[in-house]
Amino acid sequence: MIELRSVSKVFGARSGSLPVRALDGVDVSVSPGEIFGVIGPSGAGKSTLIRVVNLLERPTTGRVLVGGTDITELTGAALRAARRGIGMIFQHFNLVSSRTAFGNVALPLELIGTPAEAIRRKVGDLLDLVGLSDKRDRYPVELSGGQKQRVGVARALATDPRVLLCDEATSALDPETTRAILRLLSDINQRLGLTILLITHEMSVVTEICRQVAVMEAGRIIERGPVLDVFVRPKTTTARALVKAATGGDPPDGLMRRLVPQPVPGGGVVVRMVFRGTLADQPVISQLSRRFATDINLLHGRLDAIDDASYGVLVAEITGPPSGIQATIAFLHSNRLDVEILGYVAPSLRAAG
Amino acid sequence: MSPQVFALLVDSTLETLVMVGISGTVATLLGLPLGLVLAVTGRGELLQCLAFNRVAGLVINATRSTPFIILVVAIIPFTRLVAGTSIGTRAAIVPLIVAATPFIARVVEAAVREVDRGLTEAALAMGATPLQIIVKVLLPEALSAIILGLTLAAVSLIGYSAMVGAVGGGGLGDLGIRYGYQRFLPDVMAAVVVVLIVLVQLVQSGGEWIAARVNKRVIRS
Repeated sequence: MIELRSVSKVFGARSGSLPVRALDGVDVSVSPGEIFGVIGPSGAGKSTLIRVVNLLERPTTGRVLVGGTDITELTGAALRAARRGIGMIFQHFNLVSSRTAFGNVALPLELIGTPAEAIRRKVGDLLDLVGLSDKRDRYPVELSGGQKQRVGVARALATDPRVLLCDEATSALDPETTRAILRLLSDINQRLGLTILLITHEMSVVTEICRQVAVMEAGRIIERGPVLDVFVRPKTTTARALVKAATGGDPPDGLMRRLVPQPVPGGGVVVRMVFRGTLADQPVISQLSRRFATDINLLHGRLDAIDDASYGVLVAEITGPPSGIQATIAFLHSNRLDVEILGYVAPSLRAAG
Repeated sequence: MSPQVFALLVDSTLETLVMVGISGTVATLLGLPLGLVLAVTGRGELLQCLAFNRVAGLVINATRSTPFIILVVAIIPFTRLVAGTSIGTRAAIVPLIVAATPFIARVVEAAVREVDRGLTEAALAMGATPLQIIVKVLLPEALSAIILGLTLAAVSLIGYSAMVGAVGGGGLGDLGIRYGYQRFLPDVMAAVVVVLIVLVQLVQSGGEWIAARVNKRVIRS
């Protein structure tokens, strides 16, 4: 539905200042009906990426296909027609303050000369859809942030687009309102079969509604895949940092500082295990202790679900005879668990802890 | 104050109102579109056209930096061409328009530039044409600020109109100079000042009232 093919965008190439490469050969492919998230720290180029899709920014090189049409070849009326098929919502809502909720949702319809009666009906339906029927005559200043974004969503849907772009749409909202807006987006995605491309700097937004995610840094996509994979097993430092920010961090810093890179005689090993799907329901830990005569000390853990699939992350210290430790790790691997050795600790850790 | 002087005061007030009213209206008709065009042709704006923007800006600055009394005298040939005469109230309206148009253009430009860029972006994303964006988004959003700017222009025009007595323009300023100052009639001078104060107050309050009514960015109780 949306395809970016080696898209690059360079800013400031003409003026004397140093050019900035906001997008650097980016490829993205979003299937119809999918909710696709792009995540990255600020300055990574996410905003440019989403604005390239409806040509608010024209890419320096590369092609942008929406519904099979290369929109980089369009100008004038053809481009405006294509934009009507691509709805967009914004971080700061961008509502017209001199128009009521009704007037804002009606605006895109007025632009294409829709008759007043048809506008009245359509806007009524849309305000119903986003749950704002009772606010139709309110001006934006009289609405809360969440209500404003609902108006934004209704406005974006007015011309029956097949694609919805969400530019940090929940970043100005509190966590509860964010969840409500995400539920609304997920709802219209299912009801209308809308393809949604959203950018955010919050991992929680991605895990809440996206199926596929791409991680951006310095104008490039450095990691991509199903949300569960990227979230559970982030490969890059940036992705790891984003996951960490979303989950309140990996093991406590105090523990991480005491880790050493080499095994310590008589000491233990600290591992990070990731359980996925049904494995999370098995009594893995007690099996280990019984079979290999090792002690397993849980240091940090989390159980959660993404996309209805449960997963767990555990950080544990394993102590015991070296052969037992090795056998334990081999056993974990054989059970197709992800095991990552974070480091080794001296025996004193247990005494201290 | 004698009845004759009172009649003069009434006549002069009417002359001032006519001069300010006509020049203000014409200058708004010219300055509003000019200001809009200036706002949207600037760097990075909707219809960027730097060549036009620079030239228009230069002309506007030149006009605005000329002291009004010098402008009045300097454009006498132009005034004669337009008004058919260079003396009297009709002639005075021409330099008032020439002075007020660039002022209004700048005020409108500033008001339109203040509109959040995100709104232009949202309208572009909806598939709006530049003209639709100007008419449906920029103008309504800037309206309150534009009205305040026009109010400011009207007040300035009342002040300027007092100077056109130099070309026999008549009006309150002329009355004050000729009767109040040159003929030593302090009561006439005082009356002129009072009428001017009342005029300016009325214009200012009226403008603010309208601007507040069209401004939907604050909740009115």
